[in-house]
Amino acid sequence: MLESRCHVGRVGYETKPKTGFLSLAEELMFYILRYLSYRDILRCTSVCKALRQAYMSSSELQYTIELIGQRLIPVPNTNYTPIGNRLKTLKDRSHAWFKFDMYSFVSRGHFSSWDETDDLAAIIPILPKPSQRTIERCWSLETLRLEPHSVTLDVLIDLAQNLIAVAYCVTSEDNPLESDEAVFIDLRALDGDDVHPQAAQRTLFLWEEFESESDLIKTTYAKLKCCGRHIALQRSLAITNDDGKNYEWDMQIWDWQNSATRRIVTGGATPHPSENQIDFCFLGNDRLLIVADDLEVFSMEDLKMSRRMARFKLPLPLQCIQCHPPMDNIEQMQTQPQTVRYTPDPKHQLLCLTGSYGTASLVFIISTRIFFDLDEVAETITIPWIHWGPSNTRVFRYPYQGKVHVSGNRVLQAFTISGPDTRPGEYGVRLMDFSPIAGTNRQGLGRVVKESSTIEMSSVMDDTVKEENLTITTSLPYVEVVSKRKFSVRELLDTWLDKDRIYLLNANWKHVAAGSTSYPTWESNRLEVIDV
Amino acid sequence: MVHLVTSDNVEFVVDKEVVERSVLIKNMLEDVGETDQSIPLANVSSAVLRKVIEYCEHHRGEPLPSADADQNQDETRKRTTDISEWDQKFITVDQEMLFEIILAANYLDIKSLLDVGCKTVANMIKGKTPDEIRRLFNIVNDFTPEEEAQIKKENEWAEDR
Repeated sequence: MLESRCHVGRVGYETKPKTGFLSLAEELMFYILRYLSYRDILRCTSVCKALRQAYMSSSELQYTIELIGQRLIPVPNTNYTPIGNRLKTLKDRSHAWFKFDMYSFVSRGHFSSWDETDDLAAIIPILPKPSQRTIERCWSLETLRLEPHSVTLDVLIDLAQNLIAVAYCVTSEDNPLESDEAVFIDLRALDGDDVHPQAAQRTLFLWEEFESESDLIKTTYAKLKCCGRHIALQRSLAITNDDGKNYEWDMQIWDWQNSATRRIVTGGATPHPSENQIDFCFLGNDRLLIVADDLEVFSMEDLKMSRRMARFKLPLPLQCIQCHPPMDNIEQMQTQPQTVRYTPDPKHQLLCLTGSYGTASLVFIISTRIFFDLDEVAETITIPWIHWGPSNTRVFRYPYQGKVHVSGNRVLQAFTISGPDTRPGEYGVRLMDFSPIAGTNRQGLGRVVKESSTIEMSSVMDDTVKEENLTITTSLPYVEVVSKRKFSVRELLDTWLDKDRIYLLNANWKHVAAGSTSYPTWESNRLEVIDV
Repeated sequence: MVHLVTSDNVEFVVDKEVVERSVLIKNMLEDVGETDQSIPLANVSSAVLRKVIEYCEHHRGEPLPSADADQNQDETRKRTTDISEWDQKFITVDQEMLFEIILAANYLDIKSLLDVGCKTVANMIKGKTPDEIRRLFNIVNDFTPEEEAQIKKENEWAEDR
C-alpha cells in the first residue's frame, strides 16, 4: 500500500460531529438488529426514536417478534410470499381472535368419528377451503378386520398422514371367554382400500408377555393415538388367575413406518378397572406424556430404550383423567404443505388436562415448556407441584366433560354463568390466549389476567378424601375474551377449536305437546363453525 | 494499481485485486476501464481507509459472498454473531472508528466487512437494558414518559419469560 499527500484538490478539513451510533442510517440499524435475539430487539426499540423507527420500518424484524410472541416456528418458505404480507396475515390472525363473533356461521374442514355401537368409522368434509383435498368415507369396521371373532378397541383417523388405524382384539373361536387374546392394529390409507403406503407392514400386532401361563388377560379398554411416525396404544387390562382378578395397564409404541416391532414403554397396576385412570399424549415427535397420578415424560428418540425423563406431581389425585393434546387433529387436517408458513412450536403449546376430584371437575391448562426444560436431575426425582405448577398452569373449575378445547396457545372453554339475571344451567363461552404477545395484540379488547387465582378444594371433598384446607393457586397469565352469547345446558354438546376456527356442536330440541304440558325432545345436532 | 483519494486528500495506491473487494470500486473500474486517474472517496477519511485496506489485504483472494446467500438466511433467522479471530482483533478499535468503518464498508459496499462491524455492535448490545445501551452509545432518551411507559408495556411479555 502506497500512501502520499495529494497536492491537488480541497484544502482543509470540515469540522464534523463525532461519528457515533446515531450516525448510522436506519438501514444500518436494521442490519445490526437482525443479529439480535427477540428480547434484545425489543429492548432496543425502547432506547430511542431512531432505533424504534428502524424496527417499525422493518417487516422482517416485526415478523420475527410476532412469530416468537405467538409461539410459532417458521417453515422454510418455498413459494415466496413477501414478508410484509406474511406479517400482516399473522397480525390479523392474532387480533381477529379477540373479536370473535359467535353469530357468523361458516363451516369448513373435516369431521371424523367412530360410532362404537354400530362399529362404523366416518370422515366427513364440512365445506373445506377450495385448496383443500377433501375426503368423505364411511367404513364398516367389520370389513376392515382380517379376523373373525374380533372386537374393535379404538379407531384413529389422521387426515394429515392419510391414515386410518384400527385396533382390535381377537379371541379363540371355540372359547372366547376363557382364551387369551391377541391385539392387532391395522394400518390403511384413508383414500384407498389397501395397506397404508408408508406402513412397514399392514398389521402391527402384539402378544402377551406375562410370565404365568395360568393368567387370563383381557383388554377392557384401549386408546390409540398417533403423532407422525409413532403410534401408541394404551390398554387397561383385566388379569384373571388363581388368586383372583387384578387390573393393570400398559403402554406400547410402534414406529409404524419403519418396523412392526413394538416397545413397551411402561405399565403398572391400577386399583380399579376404570377406563379413565390413565391418559397420554405426544409432545412433538420425540416425547410422550403419560398422565396418571403423576405426569410422566418419556423420551422416544430411541424406541429401543425409551426412558423416563421427568415425573411431575399433581397437586391432588385425579379421577376420570382426560388429556387434550397440544396439537389437535383438526389443525393438522387443515394444514396443506404449500400454504404453511409457520407451525406451532411444540415446546410452547398448551396441554389441557381434565379430571375430577371429590365432586369437582377441574381443568388444568399447562404450558408444555415444563416438559422440555429438563435437566438430568429431573430423571431421578419427582418434581413437587409447588415447584412447577403454580407458575406454569392455570386451573379452573368447569361444568362438564368435553366443554374445553385447546389449540396452540388458545383455550376455548364453556363456563357456568352465575349472576342475578341468569337462569340456572346456562353457559357462557370464553376464549383464552396464553401466548406471551396476546396482551400486546389485543388492542384494548379482552381482559388481561395476570393475578393468580385460587380454587378452594375443601368444600368439594367427599368423606373418603379428607385433607386440610386444600387450595390450588395458579398464575399463568392470559388474555380472556368472553362471548355475549349464552347457551342452555342441553344446547351445547361439545366445543373444539383450531388455529382459526371455533367449532360448537349444538343440539336442537323441539317441544312436543303431551296433553296440557309439553316436553322437549331431541331433534338433531348441528355443528356450528365460526371463523375467527 | 488503483489510485484512491480520501476526504482529507490522502492518496492511496492499492492492488486492483485488493481494492475490488469493494463492489463500488469494482463497478467503477469496470465502467471506466484501465485508468491512471485517481478515484475520489469523499466519504472516507485516510485513517478509516487505511483500516479498510488492511482488512481487504488480509482477506485477499477469498471468494466474495454471493448475493443470495443472505436471502436464504432470512428465512431461518439463525444469524450467528461469531467473528473470526483475526477479524475480532482487527475490529478492536474505539467506538468512533468502529462506526466509521461500518459507514465506510456500507459506502464502499464491502459486505463481509459490514458484517464484521454490525456483528460487533450487536455483540455490544446483547443482554443490556435500554438504559445500559443508551449509556454505552451516548444516546439521549428522546421519548416522552408516556411513550416510554407505552413501549415498556408492549414489550413486557418478552421480559418475563
